[in-house]
Amino acid sequence: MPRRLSAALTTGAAPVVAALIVALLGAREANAAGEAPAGANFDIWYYATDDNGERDRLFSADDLAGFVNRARCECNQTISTRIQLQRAMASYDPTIRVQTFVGSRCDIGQVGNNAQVKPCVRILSEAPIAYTKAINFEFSPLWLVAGVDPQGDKDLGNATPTGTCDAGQGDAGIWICIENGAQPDCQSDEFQVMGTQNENSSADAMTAQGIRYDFDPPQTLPDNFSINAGDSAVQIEWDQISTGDVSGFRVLCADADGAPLPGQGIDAPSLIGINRGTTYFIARDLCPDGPFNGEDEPIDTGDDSTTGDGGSTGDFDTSGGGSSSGDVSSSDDATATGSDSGTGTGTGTGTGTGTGTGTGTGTGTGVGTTGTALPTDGIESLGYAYVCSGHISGTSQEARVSGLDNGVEYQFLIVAYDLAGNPVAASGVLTGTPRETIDLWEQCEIDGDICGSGGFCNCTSEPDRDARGWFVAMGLVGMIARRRRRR
Amino acid sequence: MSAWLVLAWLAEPVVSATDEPDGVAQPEATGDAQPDPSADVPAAPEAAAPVPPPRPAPTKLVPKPLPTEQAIARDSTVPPTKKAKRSFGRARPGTKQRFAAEFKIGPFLPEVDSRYSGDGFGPYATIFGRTNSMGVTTKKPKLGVMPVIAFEWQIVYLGGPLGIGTQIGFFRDRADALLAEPMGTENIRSSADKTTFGMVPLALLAVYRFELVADFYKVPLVPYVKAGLAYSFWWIKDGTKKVAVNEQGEKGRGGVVGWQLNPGVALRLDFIERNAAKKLDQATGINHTYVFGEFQLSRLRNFGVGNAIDLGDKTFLAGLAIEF
Repeated sequence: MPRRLSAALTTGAAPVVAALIVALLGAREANAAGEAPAGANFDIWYYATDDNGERDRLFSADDLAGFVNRARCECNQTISTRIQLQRAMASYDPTIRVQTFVGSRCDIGQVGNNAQVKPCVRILSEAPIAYTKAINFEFSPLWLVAGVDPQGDKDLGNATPTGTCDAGQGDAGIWICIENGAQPDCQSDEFQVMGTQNENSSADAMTAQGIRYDFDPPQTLPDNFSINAGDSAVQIEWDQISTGDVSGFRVLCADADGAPLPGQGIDAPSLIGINRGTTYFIARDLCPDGPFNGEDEPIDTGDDSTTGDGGSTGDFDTSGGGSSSGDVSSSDDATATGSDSGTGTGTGTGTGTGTGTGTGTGTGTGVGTTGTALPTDGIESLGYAYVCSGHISGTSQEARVSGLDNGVEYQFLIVAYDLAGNPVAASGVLTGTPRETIDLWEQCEIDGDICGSGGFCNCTSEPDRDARGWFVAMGLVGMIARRRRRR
Repeated sequence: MSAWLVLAWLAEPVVSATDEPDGVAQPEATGDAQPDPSADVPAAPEAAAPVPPPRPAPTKLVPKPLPTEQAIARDSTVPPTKKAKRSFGRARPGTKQRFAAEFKIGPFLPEVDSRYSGDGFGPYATIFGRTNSMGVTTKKPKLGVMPVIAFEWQIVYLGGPLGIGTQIGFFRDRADALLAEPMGTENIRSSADKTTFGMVPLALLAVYRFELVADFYKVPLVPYVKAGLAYSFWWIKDGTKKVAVNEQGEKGRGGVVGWQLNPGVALRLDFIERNAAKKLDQATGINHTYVFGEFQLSRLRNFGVGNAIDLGDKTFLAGLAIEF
């Protein structure tokens, strides 16, 4: 014992020293308990995955805005995520539970008393130390829009989603709740990471953004489609829409029997390519063999009902009311309606039963969800084999399809899609027959070669008298000018 | 002492009565004032009593004779300029004038159908003519508009600049193509297919502008004439916006040569504000500005050689021009 301390103890300062020792020991115990992490200490990254669910590339800001669409959800193209808690100078309190969720408005859903907002699926519930090592997991895009049954299991793998890939749009992401221990389980005010925090957008975005999901195709569509015959081509025109989220159009072509045209069509867009709103995605071509990892993901089950509303006809006019000339006519009996024979949305059970009758008369007067399931064949299936145009701007009012045979009838259909690539048949099935036309060059030939021959030089023949006189005159002018300059 | 006074009087600056109302040169109060020359005169030993300042002598400005040209040439570092050749007795005012540029525009319609002798309208009018509701041609085509830019080098002044010039224009016409086999009462045209005719006429011209009167007698009119060779590129496009091809596989594009004549009159705008025109000349070198109108006669059919399209026309053009 130091001499001064012993002296103090032997003197009347003993009670003061004892109090100091007790205070120091208490402080040491408090330090051993550690501190609670803050939301800003979590780094979150999102990645796109391939058809095997393997992490492929980091999400860009464009991906955050338009990667997740209905087809990817139906194909169960998972989103790989990495979460890491930054290490602190002092250790984190091991008694604190940190829970991670995926979804939107998890703070409200966690309370469980809001019928509109379901609790989010829980990914992990661990002490902070577990988060200091990188945590990697994947989740289905469905969890961005769908919560879990408040009465059921909340953990990923056991939870049952309450939503489907049929509809919905909004922003979602990772939510992290850091419990303070005052009350059991997470409370809404304990969420410190609220969906928008990630490292994907921080580099090139001014404002934080979560993952934008959009399962709804464009709702406001152009109308008054008309089709005009040209020489080995047709031109389709429509009235421009003033509002809506149409990013672009593509024209689909088929022969009179509804079969794709040879030499037309495009490949299905890349699973991991960056979507810039120039194409559309359909699950049947994106994952022709069914949802990826469907058997491993519990979220794939239970959404047979997604095919049940085949009777929905969309709120677009499929009647093809545009003026047509000659034998080119838009089909008034175009259907372009959702049918009840959808292929299911990742359920693994094939066709769903649904509740709709799926008669689809094709008048196009319905409202609400536009065709939740596409026909499996024909031009209305919107298959990529039918695509016969490039991306057409969402503000365009016409499209031209060339390379057709004159006198042959074809089917055409205009597909509109939004930034996320959700397609909808904007027009009904239009029919048109290209026809031979006559331009000036051909009319000149008909009228006796009035326009002469083409080519840039016709100087092989001898000049006529008129030309000779002209050249003589020009020569005289040149000589006069030369003589004048010599003076 | 009188010698000192004389020296002081001689050293006194000559001051006019208007500069010094009192007739007495007062020293400047500021520090920048020039010292009084009289201060340099040493004071006389007997200068104890104040001496009245001498009255300035009346001065008389004697004009100096102008230096001779030889003297100027001898002392100047600038080499003497040669006398400009005087045409028609006097030199033209302003800076040297070498070029002219024009922009003009006017109605135009190529005479493609000039060789057509059949019934009804020729091929150009059949396609581009005015139509009825069924698309059938009922009248000749409306005149199109052809913009032209021109440039010329003025080589010699013979009562006005004589030089060579070049010009380039552009003309295009567009219409719905005809259906090859219209049926019944339908419109005979396809709104899906537009056929286009275009041409770019070029010309190399001898140009003479009679500017003598405008230069020396302030009459602001300059008649002129241009004549020379012309060549025009042309093309026809079909509904796919590609160069049309006929049944023989021949492409509808080419060039045709000919001649053209452009007599006209230009109004020199300098008279509106002559000083401004002079300043413009001094500042930018633009000697004159004009508005003008001209008649253009062009014969573009390969001088009648072979089977060539006729792209000539008789028309009027109007525009703006500058000489610089």
